[in-house]
Amino acid sequence: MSTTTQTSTETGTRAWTGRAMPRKEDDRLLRAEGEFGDDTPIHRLGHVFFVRSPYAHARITGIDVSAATRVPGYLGCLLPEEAASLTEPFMEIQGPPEGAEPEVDRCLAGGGVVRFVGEPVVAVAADSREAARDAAAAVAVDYEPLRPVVDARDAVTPDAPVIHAQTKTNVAWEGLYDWGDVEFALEHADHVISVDELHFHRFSSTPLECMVVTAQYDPGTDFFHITGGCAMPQITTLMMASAMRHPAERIRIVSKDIGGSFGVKIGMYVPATAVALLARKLRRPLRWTETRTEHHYMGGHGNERWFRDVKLAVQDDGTVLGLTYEALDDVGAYTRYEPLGAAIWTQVANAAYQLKHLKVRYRSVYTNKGPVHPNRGYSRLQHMWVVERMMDIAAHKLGFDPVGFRLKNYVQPNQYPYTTVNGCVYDSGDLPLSLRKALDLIDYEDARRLQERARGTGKRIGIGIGSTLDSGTNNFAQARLINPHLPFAGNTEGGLVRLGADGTVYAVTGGVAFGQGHETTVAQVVADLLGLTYDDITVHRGGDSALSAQTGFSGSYASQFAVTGIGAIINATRKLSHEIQLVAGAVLGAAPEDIVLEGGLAKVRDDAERALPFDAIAGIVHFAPGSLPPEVADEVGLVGRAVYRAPFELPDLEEKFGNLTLTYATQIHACVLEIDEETGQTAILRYGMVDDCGTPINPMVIEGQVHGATAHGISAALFEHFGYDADGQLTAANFYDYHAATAYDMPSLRYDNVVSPSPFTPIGAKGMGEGGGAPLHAICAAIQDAVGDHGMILDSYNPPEHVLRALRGADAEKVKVD
Amino acid sequence: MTVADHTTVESPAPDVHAIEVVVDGRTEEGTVSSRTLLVHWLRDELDKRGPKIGCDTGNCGACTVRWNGRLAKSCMILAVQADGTEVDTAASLAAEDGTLNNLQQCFKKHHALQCGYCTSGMLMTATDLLESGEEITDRSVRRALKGNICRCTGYENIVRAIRAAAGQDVQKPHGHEEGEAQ
Amino acid sequence: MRLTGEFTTAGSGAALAALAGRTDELKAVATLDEVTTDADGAVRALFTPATPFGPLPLRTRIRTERADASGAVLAVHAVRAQHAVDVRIELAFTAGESGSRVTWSAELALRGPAASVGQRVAREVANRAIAEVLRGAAALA
Repeated sequence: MSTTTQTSTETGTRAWTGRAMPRKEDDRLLRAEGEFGDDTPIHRLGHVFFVRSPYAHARITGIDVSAATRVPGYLGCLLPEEAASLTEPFMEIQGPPEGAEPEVDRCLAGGGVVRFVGEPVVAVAADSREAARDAAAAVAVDYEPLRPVVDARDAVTPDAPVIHAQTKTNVAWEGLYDWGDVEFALEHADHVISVDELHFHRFSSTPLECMVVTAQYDPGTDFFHITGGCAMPQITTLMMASAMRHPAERIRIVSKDIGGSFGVKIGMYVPATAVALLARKLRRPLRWTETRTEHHYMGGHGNERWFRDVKLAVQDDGTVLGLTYEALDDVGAYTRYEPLGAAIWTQVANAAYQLKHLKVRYRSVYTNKGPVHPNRGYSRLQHMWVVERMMDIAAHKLGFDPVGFRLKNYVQPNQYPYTTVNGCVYDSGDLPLSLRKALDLIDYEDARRLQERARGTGKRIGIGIGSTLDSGTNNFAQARLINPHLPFAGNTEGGLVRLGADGTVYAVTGGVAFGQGHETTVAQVVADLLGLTYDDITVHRGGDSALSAQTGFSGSYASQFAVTGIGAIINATRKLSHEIQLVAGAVLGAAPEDIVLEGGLAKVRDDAERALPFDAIAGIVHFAPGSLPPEVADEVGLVGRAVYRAPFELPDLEEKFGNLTLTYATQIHACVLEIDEETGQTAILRYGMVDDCGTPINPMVIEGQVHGATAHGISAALFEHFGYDADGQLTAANFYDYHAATAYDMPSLRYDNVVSPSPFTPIGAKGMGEGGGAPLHAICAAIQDAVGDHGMILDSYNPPEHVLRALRGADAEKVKVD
Repeated sequence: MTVADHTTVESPAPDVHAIEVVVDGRTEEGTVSSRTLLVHWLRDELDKRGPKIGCDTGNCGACTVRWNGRLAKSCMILAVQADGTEVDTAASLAAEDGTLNNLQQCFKKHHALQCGYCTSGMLMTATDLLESGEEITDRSVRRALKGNICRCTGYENIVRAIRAAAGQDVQKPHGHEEGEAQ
Repeated sequence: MRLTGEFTTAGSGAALAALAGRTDELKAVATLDEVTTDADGAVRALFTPATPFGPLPLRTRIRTERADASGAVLAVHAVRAQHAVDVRIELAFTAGESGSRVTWSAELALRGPAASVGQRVAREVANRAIAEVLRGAAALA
């Protein structure tokens, strides 16, 4: 086992940690005093608008900006050839295909070709929003259309047009994962369930605030100051620095309040590079405020995936042995964070089950569609969806009770830490208890009676279960599964806690929150460690690369803050505590280890008379260091800066075996829904979620995250789809055509939890928030349950027309039982 | 290839209009072009951060304000149309000293906001609902919120907060302790 | 999407076909403005059809692929800001008692944001715009 177990750490008296503290963020947001990307007033601010391709695939034959230059307020523009000369291509995770050149990705369309509708071609700046829009509209770009490839299944055929000519293939990455002996299992199993093809559709969490980038360039110091909702600031800095051939330490990235990211804003570096180059060229602060339409074109779509030739081996007694499939992952026109998704899914290779054999041939495939980015549940939810679908289909086809079948095959409570087929270590959990609680939330027995009563009424009731894991805290060495030459290994986060000149406490975390309440949870933990109150702690809003709290992997993604962010803050607070103890010990004439921090005082243990308030300690260090012993004065600065290192080792790249994630939160969902036989309309009658993310830091925040992930899943399952027509045109480029669920569409949500502390993390907490897409699994299963097995649910997207097709027996022939 | 701009380019007459609008109880004067949206004027000229922009099509409701007492999406109104009218943004809800009003306190207590981007619009819609005299039920609140998209909360806690603001007894957030200091 | 229509006009098929060589006169069509002819014979014009949303100026380039007394084939590319439209129009002329009957069918592709936001209204708007400009041009024959 590659993970070392850490002992749980004391966090003081725990007066605050674990409680549902109201959030520190809320007052300013409720008073409309937050500061989001487009809020900051800046003197002489210019605005950028991108000229974007209306073609999915075309050669650029001419660009004429002359009419734009005559628009009043026009400031200047950035053309593709200029961007190409000023930048290196963005770094790519995958190596070039054998015998070919690598993909080239730049901030504006490269190589004279556009590869998706909405790809930026020219960046235009003007002195107002309206003028920038007008000037961009006046730019004439001529195109020679090329044949687009819209479907990943077509993209891998020999006669498909190649999207990046120099790569000579539309396959960005290809690999075989083969653990156990699935051929043996399939040959000897009592039953094999085979499905020709399943499809996980394209959608995204579409944060309500689109991307905003403000770039200021200071020629005096050659500094870029970038403000925007950056979810992964140091990687963004690195991507921009290497592309712009500019020192990373002369790029400062600041974010304040962020109106959601859910992963997709990780792609900020692409447009930010164009805005930064233009700001430098024009010597004007410039802002690009992405429109909803633009966001839907390239804001980052979730991975669309085809599962082909899927086979599940099952025994007579209901034991599931193994699974195999071929995956075609449609990554869109550029890989960007991809093809990491080709490795990320293996964090949950077993899903919630005791699989012994798993074999997946995985290909990441280019198409002429918007690029995908990590999106809530990134790459794991697709795999867990197909596993859960297959479990559900197997139960239907073989006549197993869906509850008993899952209970039998779940990883059992006494098996933790549980090592998966690929060497990942599930840290803790109680899936059977979670499922029982979820079924209680929907009153399962009563729901079955309801189902019976509905027969023949024109309405059908279906009950579905969704079992998922939320793997958190990546071992970045998994990137080496994609490209062994990559330097990544392990994971860290940073944190900084300082005592100001007046004794007030300021904490900065490397994680960048966009609604998860980091200011709140950090304050809870720091207050406990320093013996202060929750209100005593001020936590920095957003992120600032100049504050030294960040490490290379800093940011908010991959469900990790409760482990890495809080871990770093704990370590940083300990450093500060130690310095306070040194000073207090020196002043009060006691050994530092005899100083306890309590009630805003540094006290000598068991001696109520000898104590120093924090403001006195701060005053001495900041203004009277001469009164301290030199060895103490030399050591203390009252700034605790520390990292948290997640304990990982390198995986075996040959076997693709090793621990890829530190924690596994679990979520079990159950739902009862009703479908109308005439219209195919789905109404959710009851919805329950049971979460287990270890020791809670703030149960209210956790419940809120579960609600949010549930809404994303329900909305994706029923309403949201980035559909493209055969021409490669996105047919859901706004909230009119892309329906994000409203309050009226959503059922009431019933929540419960289980607490299985993680043995591997500082306070037993696990990262959570992404949620693993459980509603997609649960709703597909419930629709299947309502339909019976006469039509099969083989797509993750089930609007009324799909449900009607299923009621008429669609796709039944694609499922075989041997 | 000029397209939308030929009038702007060639027309010598400045396309500007003086407007006077009472915003959050204060008379504000401005000079706007015919095409300036109310939401842009409020945000760019007055630094009003309540109304936000989350879509291009009037679907998201992040820009919701009250316009002469009626609920309106300020992205669907031209600034010139607001001349001589009253506009209230979410910045008008708290007391002068910043004390949150009952609705805002309920939002906080029930964790009805995460990123906060939709919050101002939600507060305006909820204020309008609560003052409308309509019966407050789970269903009526959800119907009233139809025009406001939230991508963080799943709406559950927003619905609870609004019902709590109407004096109803609703489920408290997970982990909530009775008598918890707010 | 496929659109079709028909109308009658006074000119003969030959006269209609001859319009392809008389592009200067197209500026007489109410919705066409700034008409010029490229070296390759393609016509460029600012086409401003009336729509339910008001006048919608489109920069268009019209290439005549074929034109004779029996009919014509036109390839039209129109652009407005981030939107583009490609239309291939096939016209058939049949002689009638007092002129010609023109039947047309168009294959229209919307590109850019219009492909999404316009998907429910494009058919109506485009049908009317094409019918009106064809009728207006035919009246010149």
